[in-house]
Amino acid sequence: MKQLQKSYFIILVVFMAILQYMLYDRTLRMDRFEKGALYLKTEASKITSSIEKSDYQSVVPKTVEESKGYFSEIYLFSENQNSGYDFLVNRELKNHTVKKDLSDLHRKNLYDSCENPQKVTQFENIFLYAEKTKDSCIVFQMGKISLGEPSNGPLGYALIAILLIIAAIFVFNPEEKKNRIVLSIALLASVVLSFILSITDAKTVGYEKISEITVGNINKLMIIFAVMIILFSLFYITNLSVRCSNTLLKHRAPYLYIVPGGIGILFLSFIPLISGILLSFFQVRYNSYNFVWFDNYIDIVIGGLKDIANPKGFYYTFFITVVWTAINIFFHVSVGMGIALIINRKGLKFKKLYSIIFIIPWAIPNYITALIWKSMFHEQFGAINSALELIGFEKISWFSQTFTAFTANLLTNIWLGFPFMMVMTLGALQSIPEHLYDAAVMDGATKWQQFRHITLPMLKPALLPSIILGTIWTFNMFNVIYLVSGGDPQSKTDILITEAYRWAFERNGRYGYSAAYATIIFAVLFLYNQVTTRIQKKSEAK
Amino acid sequence: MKKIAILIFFASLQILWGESLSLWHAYTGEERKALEELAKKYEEKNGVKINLLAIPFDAFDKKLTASIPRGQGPDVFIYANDNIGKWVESDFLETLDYWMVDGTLDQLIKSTVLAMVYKKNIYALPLAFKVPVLYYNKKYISSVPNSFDELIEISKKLMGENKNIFGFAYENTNLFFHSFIHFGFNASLFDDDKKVKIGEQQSIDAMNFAKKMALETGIMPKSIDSALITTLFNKNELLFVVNGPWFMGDISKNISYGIAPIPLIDGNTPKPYMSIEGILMSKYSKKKESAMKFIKFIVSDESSEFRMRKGMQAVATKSTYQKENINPNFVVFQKQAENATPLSNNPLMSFFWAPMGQALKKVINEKYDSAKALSESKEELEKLLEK
Repeated sequence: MKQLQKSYFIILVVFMAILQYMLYDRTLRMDRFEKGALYLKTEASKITSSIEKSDYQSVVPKTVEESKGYFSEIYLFSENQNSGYDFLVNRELKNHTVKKDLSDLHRKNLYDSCENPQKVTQFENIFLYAEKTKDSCIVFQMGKISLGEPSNGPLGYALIAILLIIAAIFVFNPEEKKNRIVLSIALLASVVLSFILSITDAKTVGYEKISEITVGNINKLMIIFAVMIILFSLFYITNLSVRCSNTLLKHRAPYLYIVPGGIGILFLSFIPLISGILLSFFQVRYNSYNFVWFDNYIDIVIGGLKDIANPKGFYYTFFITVVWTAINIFFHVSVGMGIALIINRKGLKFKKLYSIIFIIPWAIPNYITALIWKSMFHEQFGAINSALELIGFEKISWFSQTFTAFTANLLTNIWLGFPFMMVMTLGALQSIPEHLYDAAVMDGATKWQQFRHITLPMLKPALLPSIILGTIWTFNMFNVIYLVSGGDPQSKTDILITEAYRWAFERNGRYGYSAAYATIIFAVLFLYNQVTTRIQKKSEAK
Repeated sequence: MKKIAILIFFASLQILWGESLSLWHAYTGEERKALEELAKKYEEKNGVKINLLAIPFDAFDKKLTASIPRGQGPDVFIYANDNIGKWVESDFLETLDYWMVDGTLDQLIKSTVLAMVYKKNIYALPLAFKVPVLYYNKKYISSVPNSFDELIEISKKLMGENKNIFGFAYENTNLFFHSFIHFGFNASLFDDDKKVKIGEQQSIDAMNFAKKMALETGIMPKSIDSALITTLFNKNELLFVVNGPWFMGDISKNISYGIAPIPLIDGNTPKPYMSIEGILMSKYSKKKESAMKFIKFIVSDESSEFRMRKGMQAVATKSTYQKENINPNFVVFQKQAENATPLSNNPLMSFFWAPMGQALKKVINEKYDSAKALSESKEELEKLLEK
């Protein structure tokens, strides 16, 4: 039996190695072809169009003389890139007869405009070959699951390494010490190998000239990966991993059932989270990524200190977010609980009807509610101002002052948020045993004392988790802020999440900066969650 | 049942083996129908299936940015010209120079072609232009005012007679619609050296004019957005509107309206932003020759006429305007286009929308001083551009 397992493992490793090699080889070759061919084609087209007498003289160079500049660029390019292209021409074109089916006009122009016709045919060949091989490579694009275009390899390789580890745990019995050591070394080697492959991959593709990402940047990225990978390996060698793998082996079936869900979570939340965090280390300009270490964070957290009152800075927005969350939660809980207590009264008729009515704000999609509230706050035509006028107040221009705009947001979100708390409280109220109240009445307790000493303590365990949940929702309540006040006036009512959105999509695509914001929000909420669960546990222990 | 199965089988064969092109666009309504019909015509004629995908205008750039570099984008797509620079810098677009040797460009209106040129290469062929004009309600207005002074006078007079109506509206906190004043006063946004020019006297004058219209004349409603304009106009409660050609689709059928070029502003000719829709080719397309064939088909004289008649587009093909029986509205659009500012395709442009909108909001909603609001926005812009 053991023998069989081992042979399985060996086959698996060999297969993985082959896959890895193919991935490495194909993605590498493809990129070189694709980029090179596109570059050459662009250059060639410049020549073609420049020769044609055109009405659009500002578009293209006027004369052949002028267009020679372009050609010398191609020439220089090919000289500089000799290693890459000669390798290509020598190795690949030997084995393939490439049909030259470019249009006659195109070729004629190319020939006419250059001093060295032979060079041109070579370009054409490369171009044609690249066009042809493109389709055959689709299968191998898996290696492109990565951070984006420039560094094709790393994440793909890391993914394979992880798969390998999981597979190995299933096949080998890690309880034996010998096995454990062999396994660790093999896996470590595999991880290191994939890491080295990624680096060579990135280096040889030669991105420097064509896209703006330099190899240096990729190396920096590699360092982070290396750290991650080493941490991962350490984790494996330590006891922790042994315990993990033991439970894995013991409960194979349940873990197998979890796998589909696990894969879903991996792709839908874990990978986006990781790539979001990684993105926060980059400065993004158009489609080029510059690795800037912690510059984004430093800019947000320390740069923000320079001007704390700046509504577009971190601290002001953070302050608004905290105030926003606190006031909201206060009203959600008090309004929700109040209504729940009223509905829960003994002998009240149409109880169900009431609870349905009060759930409606929650049941309607919140962006619709938000838009309706926004139009109700309109200065001239809104229902709220008309009502104010009827009572004898003056019309308020809601979104031109911070306080009123904030209030408008707040009213909308209280309307949206209290039903959740109400439902939670109602559920918990029904589980409070009646006899406690009977006993309290016997002892002569007032209604307030009953509430203070029976209802509240009994509600607490049900309410605390919903308050935590509600806090997280309100902290990230994008729809209300974005749709009702839209941050007006002057971004003064924006909260962190809308501010992050604006950095990415309204202030010219600063995705890295925005990702840093999002990571900070994540950190804040994570911390909050940790603290509150600790407090909750402590209070339960009492 | 069997028949259906066979049909499905052949249909799937068609999908698998038939040649096809994917085209993304942001069209709705009549324009979309016209495009779909054209695609069908092309398929019948050339046997190439065009897979159309309509994407909301706002989401277009994001979706494109996410899918093109990963090879999942369209072969060709239709969008306004203002993103060309950014997309070229991102390496998404194929230059069309190579295919332009047959004189295709000479059939198109020159200003619209030049709006598609970035760094000496052409990246799109113009399909249609969209330029804001003056809409007026024929129930109240018989003769079109020549200047804004006249417009204010007429509005005040009619508003005195009927308390429920408003004189004039446009989206005054949006740079796109503010543009007819801004460029009318000969102001600019930035120069060739990437220097921000919004703090200058001309732009202050322009903003003061917008402020005067909104706060002093009393003929405009407050907190204007596009929904409000549509509602008021459709209730016969609005006399004049400056809005783009898409507004025609929003006007309900029982409203009789006319359009005219935007009247003079204090003696200056208004120059609204003109957005030009072009058809672009992805650099990652694997069927570039075939894509080019389709592009040339869709800008051809015949298709352009179809797009104008069915899709109600102000097309960029010259010869179409000489056809008989064309809708007189298009002549107005063409006239306004002569005095229009093509949206810049420089990536720098995308920096300006938010800060300019912010400045307009400050001045119009919070009664700021124009010069102060502009200088604050300028400062913010310069900071943004530094990074």
